[in-house]
Amino acid sequence: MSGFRLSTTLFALTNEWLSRRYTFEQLVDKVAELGLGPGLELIGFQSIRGFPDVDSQFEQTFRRLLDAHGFEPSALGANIDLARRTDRLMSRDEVIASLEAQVEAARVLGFPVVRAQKLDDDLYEWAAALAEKAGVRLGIEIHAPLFVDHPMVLGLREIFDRIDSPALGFIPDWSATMTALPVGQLRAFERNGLTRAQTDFLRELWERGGPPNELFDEFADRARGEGASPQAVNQVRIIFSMFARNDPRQWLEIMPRVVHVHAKFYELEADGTDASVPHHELFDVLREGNYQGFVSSEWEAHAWADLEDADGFEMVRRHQELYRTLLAQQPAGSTT
Amino acid sequence: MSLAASMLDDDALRVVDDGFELDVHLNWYRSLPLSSVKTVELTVNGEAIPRDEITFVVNGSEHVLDELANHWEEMWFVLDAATLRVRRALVEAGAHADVSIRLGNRIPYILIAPDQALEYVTERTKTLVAR
Repeated sequence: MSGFRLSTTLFALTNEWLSRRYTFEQLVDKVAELGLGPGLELIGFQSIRGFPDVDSQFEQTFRRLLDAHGFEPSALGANIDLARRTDRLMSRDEVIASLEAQVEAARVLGFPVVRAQKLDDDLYEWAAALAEKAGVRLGIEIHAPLFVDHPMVLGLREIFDRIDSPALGFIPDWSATMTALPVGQLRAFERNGLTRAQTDFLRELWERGGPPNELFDEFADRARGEGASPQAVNQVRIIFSMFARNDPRQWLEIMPRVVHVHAKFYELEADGTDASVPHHELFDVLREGNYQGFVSSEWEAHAWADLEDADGFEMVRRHQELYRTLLAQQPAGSTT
Repeated sequence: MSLAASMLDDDALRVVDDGFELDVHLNWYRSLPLSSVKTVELTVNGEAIPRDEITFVVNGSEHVLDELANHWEEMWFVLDAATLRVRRALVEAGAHADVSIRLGNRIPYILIAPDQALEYVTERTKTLVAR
């Protein structure tokens, strides 16, 4: 049957991993026990000691886990650490070497997709050739504050159309098409010094929308005037760039070039409701766009919720249960 | 924030011959180059330790803080503790000590200006029993 398939990104299990209560094997074993997957995504610099080098011991462990549980590698998260030096950014040659090493890691481990961040425009032809040779596809992530109609992304769409390699594509991240700010994030801001009235105002500003800096300045003026500390004010800056509320249907414009999906979510309830991410509409977009790759369940509220307050495994399980239920139903638009 | 939760384990503080050591875990979700470590502010029982009195031990090597910037090709693995070493007898074995650590890392792939990386700072305060 054609269609897309589900994947678990170990990034959703960041709190569990950082707690050091699980080895890599135990983390993957538990994903299998819960019946999650069949895709498995990881971030190289999070899960692999020595990355971008991959030693034979990790490679063997990884392949054994795939075999034992019937998992398939879905995507490898790469990062170009442009500012790793304090005196200057990476040179072009250093960027090339860094991406080469991470694409090689993906090839060795069998990942079909490498999640990458934007490169300089004149590197994509080289990157397409690199990826084609390694048998992988490079996906540039479109995460808030970017979206399909952002000037940077419009530029990339033109470049990708011109090069027209199947090895170049996009990874939509649902952070760009949210319906509300996650309430847990607002409560975390309150624990760190804001009042409820201030986070209510923050929500109003976010819902109104506009240039992130202007929205932040408007918030900061008021909160400072009310006596909020610089630390309490500055912590909110990220929300105008981490979360955005665009129309999910606009993802259809780039769907033919989508190589992987980050189904970002924060607060999915046990009954399948979610105030901040419109799962049903996004699901319909994937169906309508005839998307054929993996969809990774990327729960990210671990950025503010502690392990004691939220269980990453359970959040991924809920997400995949919801998607499985939707996949089992008639395609959108058909009569029942 | 949750990344602070795993920074200090209950057994993080140790008395050694000429002072004490504190094991600190990374406040980020992935490994970072040693050159990312920018802010290290340590307070023990209300006493702020001057930066040049702290050395940073990771991957089996000891560094003065200002020298970490040179180690951009070496990684601090996300699950490994780094040990802050202070050669001053400020804590007693078996006694409680109020420890506060403020750790700030330049996140090398998140640029907030054309040549400026985001600095992510976390503060963690905990009462520990020195071993």
